[in-house]
Amino acid sequence: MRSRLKWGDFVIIGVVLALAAALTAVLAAGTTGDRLYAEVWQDNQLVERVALTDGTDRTIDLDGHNVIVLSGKSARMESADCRDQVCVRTGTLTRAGQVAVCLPNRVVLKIVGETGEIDAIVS
Amino acid sequence: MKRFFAAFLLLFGLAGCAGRQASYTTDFFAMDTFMSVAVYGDNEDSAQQAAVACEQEVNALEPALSRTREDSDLYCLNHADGAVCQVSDETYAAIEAAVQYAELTGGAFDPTMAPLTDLWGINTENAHVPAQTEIDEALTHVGYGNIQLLGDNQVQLLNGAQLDLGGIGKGFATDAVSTLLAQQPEGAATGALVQLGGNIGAFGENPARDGGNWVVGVADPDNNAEFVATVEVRDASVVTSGDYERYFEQDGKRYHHIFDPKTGYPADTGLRSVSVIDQNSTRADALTTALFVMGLDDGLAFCAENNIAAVFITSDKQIYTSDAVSSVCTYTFLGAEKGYTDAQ
Repeated sequence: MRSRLKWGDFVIIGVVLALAAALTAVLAAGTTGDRLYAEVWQDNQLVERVALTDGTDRTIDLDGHNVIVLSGKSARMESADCRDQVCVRTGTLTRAGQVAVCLPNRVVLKIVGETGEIDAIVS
Repeated sequence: MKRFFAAFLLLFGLAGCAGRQASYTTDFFAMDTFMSVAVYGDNEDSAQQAAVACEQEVNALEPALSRTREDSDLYCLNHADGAVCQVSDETYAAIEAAVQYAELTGGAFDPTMAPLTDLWGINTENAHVPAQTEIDEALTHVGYGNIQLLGDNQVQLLNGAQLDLGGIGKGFATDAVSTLLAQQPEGAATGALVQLGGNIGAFGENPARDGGNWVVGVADPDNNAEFVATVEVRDASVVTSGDYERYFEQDGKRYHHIFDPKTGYPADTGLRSVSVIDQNSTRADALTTALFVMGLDDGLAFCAENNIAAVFITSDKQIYTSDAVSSVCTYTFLGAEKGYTDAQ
């Protein structure tokens, strides 16, 4: 038997497609996300995870050993009491995949979130 | 009612089609550096199992490659006063690889530089320029020819030589992780980004990019959070040696950690960094050091002769690539705004 689509069917199809698009967007935003986050790790423990937005202005002081400054969509190891200063020299991080590591203090500052130009930097 | 049920199925079907892969990342400290292993797979549990297995593999390798841990094979070997030592399979394989690359590079990479690196004390409180007599004395113990591989996992060090596998250790671990990932059940690790210190391994498919490749930035030596070029790779390792992370300054001069086995001084060849792209990370690890020591002209000639993909960054901000680069990756120069020149 031949059936015809009624106007109600079109409404349902439209609603389903809209909901599917919305659900897809939510799923896609799940882990990679469309935002940037700064993560601060100490001894393999996540100390802070902060969304980086234009208005971000925060200083994270790890008992004076490492001072991390989050400013707008950037993060940097402002100072460290370690000998080699590799983490401070790493400079300002602005993209997912960038990492500043203080090996002596076992502190890691990393940027995660939206996929950008690169997946990692080799240095 | 049937229509609503069909609509419900369709909704999740459509959303599911656009679904993404699960991933799991583990960060950890090992081999005196920071490491990160991100595994992508069909579900998070299997990705996690694979990532944790990689971390365990690296941790298990550490005693085989460390020379500072008192329970390590190398510590035993370096304190044996020339006696024959029995080492593990992993240590023996790593020493064999180190000797192989020392031979390949004519000693530009040499795993017996420990007396010199200890003397200079880079990255210690004792970092200083030694007296020439001290350097000359240390050099008498340097030379990969002092390593005797006797078979059956037996090794002997002659002439007071000291073995240090730091120059290939992270590459060796990256290769071990690569092998482990390939052994995972189907779908458990469809892609992985492995960062073991300065060694990057990019394996399988990157679900975040069209085409599935991995894009690795080559660090700007003046600001190593930034990059001056990218290489797009798959199933390859990218390794960099540069003068900008481990160094000290004395009397206004910078002394870095990449030593020339001939002079006993930090290699002064007008290079800031060398990056190598290779399927074998151990080889890439050894070659970055060797090419840095060789310098630009000899390094490029060596790359041409041995089909090695390498990116050289010079002190005067020129970036050179060897001919093989275009055959193993997509290279993009991005350093113009930072004052670099694409010297092709």
